[in-house]
Amino acid sequence: MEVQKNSKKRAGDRTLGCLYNTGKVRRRREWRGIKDTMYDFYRWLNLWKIMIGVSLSKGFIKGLFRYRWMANYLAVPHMIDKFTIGQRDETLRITHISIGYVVKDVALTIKRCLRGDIRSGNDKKFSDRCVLVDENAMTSFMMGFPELVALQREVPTMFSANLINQNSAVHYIDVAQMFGIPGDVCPMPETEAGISIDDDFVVMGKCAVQVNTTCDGSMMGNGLIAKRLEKEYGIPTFQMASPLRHRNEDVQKYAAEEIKSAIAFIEEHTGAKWNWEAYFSAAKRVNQTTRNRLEWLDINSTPYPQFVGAVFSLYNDTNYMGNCGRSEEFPFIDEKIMKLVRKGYENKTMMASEYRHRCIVWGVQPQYVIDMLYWMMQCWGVVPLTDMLSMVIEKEIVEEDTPQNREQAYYDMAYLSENMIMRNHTHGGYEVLVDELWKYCEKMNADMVMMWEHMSCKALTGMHGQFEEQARERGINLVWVSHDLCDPRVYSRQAIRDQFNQYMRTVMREEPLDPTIEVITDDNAW
Amino acid sequence: MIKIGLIVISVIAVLFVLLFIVYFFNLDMKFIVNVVAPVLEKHYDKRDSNQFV
Repeated sequence: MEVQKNSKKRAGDRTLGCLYNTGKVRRRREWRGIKDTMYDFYRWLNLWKIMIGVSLSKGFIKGLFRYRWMANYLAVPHMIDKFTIGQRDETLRITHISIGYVVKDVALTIKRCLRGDIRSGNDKKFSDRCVLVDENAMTSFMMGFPELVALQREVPTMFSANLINQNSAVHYIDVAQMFGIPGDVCPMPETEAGISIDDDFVVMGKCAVQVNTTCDGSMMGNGLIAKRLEKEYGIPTFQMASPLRHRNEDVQKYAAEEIKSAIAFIEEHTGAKWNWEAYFSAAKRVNQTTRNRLEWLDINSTPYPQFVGAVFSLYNDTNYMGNCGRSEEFPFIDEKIMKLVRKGYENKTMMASEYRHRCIVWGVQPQYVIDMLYWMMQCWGVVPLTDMLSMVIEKEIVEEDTPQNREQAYYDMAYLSENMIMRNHTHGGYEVLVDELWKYCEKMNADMVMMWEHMSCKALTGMHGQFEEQARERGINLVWVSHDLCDPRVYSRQAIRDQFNQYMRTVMREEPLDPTIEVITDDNAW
Repeated sequence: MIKIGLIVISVIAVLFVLLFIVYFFNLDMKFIVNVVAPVLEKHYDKRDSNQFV
């Protein structure tokens, strides 16, 4: 690929190594020139406003002292600093707006969790309106229950806590292993199992729905969690099993039946009735999300990508899985982001001083925990165009309320579940995992693939040789980067970055754009 | 009236400078991870939990 130079000089800090030391957080915040620093400062004030708002909510103080994972939320601004490294102009604003709404969404989940939790807010009336939904579930089967609240309690407890503090899962992994769960299980479900064993989940909700995604580890964790939910707390739990070979026509009827059964289960336990008007309104918003995401990906296929990195993926996670068209707020955020993406593209805004490689990020990714994708851009000029978890829903679902569409809607909800994040490419065979990657490379003009190799993920490791062989045939530069997701004791941040550094120096024979961040002393950082 | 206006502007300016110092030198996060988090962690470690599979 021809090197693409940025004609604009970056305002403020030119190199970024000065921001790091051996401490738990950054030495100082980045100087981005007056205009962008003031914008970042304004977003920081806004963030503290949200955090203070949450801390004044019902049950917060009790929850803070009761739940170990709650302490992580005091350091949300540190997470934002990780995701805005080196950014200026439109891309800084895109990141802030999108992560701002992810933060707001998680803050709302925390507020709701603590409000209904028997040990904190203990609001029984509210708790009875809540359905606990598996973190790895697409909440499509909740689209027609506007009076109910779908609560993914693992999100604040495990997932987003780990975005803020890389060590947030360690205690729970140790608890799980003390109770005999092997160390080579994916640390994500292992952490969730550990939280349940440690009795550190909020206890609330009229009923719960678990799914068979994303993997065998997830099913192991769900088994333990469901046992405690049902036997100790009397919360009935439905198991929704999505088919593995989700592209096959002969499994679709079964998948739609599973959705019907989940809806019937929720109706039976909550007394709520499925509302088609609410469903089709939500379906319109899901379609809008799909159209917008596809346009962002189209722009990322050009020489001037705008919405990239871990935040692109996180925003898609929140918008599709957690929200799934139910929030009326998200379309406005989408519009704001769209305006900035278009403006950035017209202004030919670049995120680094030069782009040397266009990269697709594939595999099970730990990039949420570390600022790897932004680091790749700043340190080596490698632009992450998209990642596996963002390549989800590709078709629009029916959005008009007709008798025929009501039947089709079950198939659409099943389609959304089958094609959810961390599922549509890890389940369904080599066609979706290997073959589709090369299609995306072609479509997005990528000359490089960074393969995250999650050492505890059995679904992907089997395809290692296939990826290597086929990348070689196509002349794609394939970088393997091993990690162990949310257990930083196995692969530290620098051990992860070193694999990329070695490839860039020895195979690509390149020198870093910013040598001050080739090695960062942030292994102890949150 | 002018005096009150000047006082208000001065208070806002001082507040802005103080907050900007906290922001730029990352004092908010340094306080949380070095002072608040260790106290909370000690508290969590002391707490008995109902561990059960």
